[in-house]
Amino acid sequence: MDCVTVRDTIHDYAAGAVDPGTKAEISRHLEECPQCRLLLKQTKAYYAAIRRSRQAIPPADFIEQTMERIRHPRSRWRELVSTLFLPLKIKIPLEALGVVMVSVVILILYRPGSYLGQSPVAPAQNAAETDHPAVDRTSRPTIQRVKSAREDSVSESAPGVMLARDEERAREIDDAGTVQSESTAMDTAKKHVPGKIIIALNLHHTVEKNKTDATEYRSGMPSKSVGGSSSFYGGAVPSEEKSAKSEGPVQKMKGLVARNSGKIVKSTNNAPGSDSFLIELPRDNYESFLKELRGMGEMIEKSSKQPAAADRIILDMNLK
Amino acid sequence: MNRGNKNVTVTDEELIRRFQEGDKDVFPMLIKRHMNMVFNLCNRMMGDYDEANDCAQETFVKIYRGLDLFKFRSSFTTWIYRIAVNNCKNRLSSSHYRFSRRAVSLDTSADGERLPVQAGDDRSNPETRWERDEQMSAIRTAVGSLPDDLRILVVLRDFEGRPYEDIADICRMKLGTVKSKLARARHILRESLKGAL
Repeated sequence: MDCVTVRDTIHDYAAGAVDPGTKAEISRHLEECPQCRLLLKQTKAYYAAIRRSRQAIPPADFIEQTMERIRHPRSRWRELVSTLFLPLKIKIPLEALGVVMVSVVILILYRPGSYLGQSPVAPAQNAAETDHPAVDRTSRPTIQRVKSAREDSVSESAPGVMLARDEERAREIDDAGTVQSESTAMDTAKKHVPGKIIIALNLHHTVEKNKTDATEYRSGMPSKSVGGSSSFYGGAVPSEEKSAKSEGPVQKMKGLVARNSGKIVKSTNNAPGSDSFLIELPRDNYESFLKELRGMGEMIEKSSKQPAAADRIILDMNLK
Repeated sequence: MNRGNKNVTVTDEELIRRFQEGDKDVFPMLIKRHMNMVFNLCNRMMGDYDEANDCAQETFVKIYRGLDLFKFRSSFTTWIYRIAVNNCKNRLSSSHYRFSRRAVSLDTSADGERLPVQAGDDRSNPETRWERDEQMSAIRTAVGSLPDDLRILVVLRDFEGRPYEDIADICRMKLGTVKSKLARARHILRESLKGAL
């Protein structure tokens, strides 16, 4: 037996807790090894000192104190605090870890640019990027989405803003239940005065000097005479220059609009015998305006939209 | 099972069964039988008389609460030791205790005041007594400076004389772990006690 083994078993040897075979081996080694004999001496002194150490006596009222503690336990609150926080060495790091983890989760959920923490500038864009259902319905505009329309609106518009340059198209999208963002609604409100309707009227009439059949004239110059947004918005000759040639019909139209409490926003003389008007009219007066207009000539074309469903009506007619 | 209680005729097991059947009045008898053992264990572990008193009382409160569920799978003494050791470990690991602990002692209070102890039969001369006191003081200091997990093992093995198997059961460790940790603790003690013994 070597010194290392003896060192490992010397306490059991000193305490008499080794089997006879091991005891004999250790005894043989101790006879030869002075270092291990010294170690044995120290170990025996150690156990002797422990045996001599006096037993502490519990307080005389130990049993009474303990029974009192059993009968009247500490308050539940103190027990709870003790359970939650003691031992502090273990539980404080655990609680700190919990706080850190919750903070990380909150940070992930509400980080700038995330869906819940998005800025109000680009709601439609974010709505298009994710189908996250948790939208703050109290603080943000309600977003109702139909996938195809959403894609259209996002592709055609700046993020979050659906341009309202084509109001007929916007109306169609709305009818389909598509995106109606807050900014779009504001744009629409700016374009349309509530209770008013815009009428784009193409008027064809005969010219005194050169009497031409209105229908023939129209078929000869379709791009200029037939109603369409381009015909009364772009490249028209100013009405002041040619107003003398069609003063009659223009005056008639002005009178008709005035009687229905409307106003002519813009009038354009496209060609001899062809005038375009942009008329703003109270929505309630539209029917009477239309009735009176029909009395003035033949209605060639009228947009299918009813005033209740559209803010702009396109009319094309031949004057008598 | 009834270590140090040779004169009593009623065993621990009988008392426990009576307790489990609803006779809670037998519990003071159980306390009386085991309080010295629990108190000294706590005192050696905590190194403070008042802390030991509090810890020992808390141990018996826990024993009272859990005794109905005791299934006799291990000995009652081992079960008590386990509760006491866990109680001491929890207290030792609390920062409050660590902060307030000035010096660890095995049979004196933190301020060095002599504790109530049983009268020994030390009839040796004063010089020998002084030498032995010095040795004991060195041992107390050395054991008290051990890490908590090692000190528990040294107290259970060297002071309480528990078998390795019991210590493994009490501390819920493997037997090999107990032995290797004890070997490490003893190596530290040897270094600390060089010249003192």
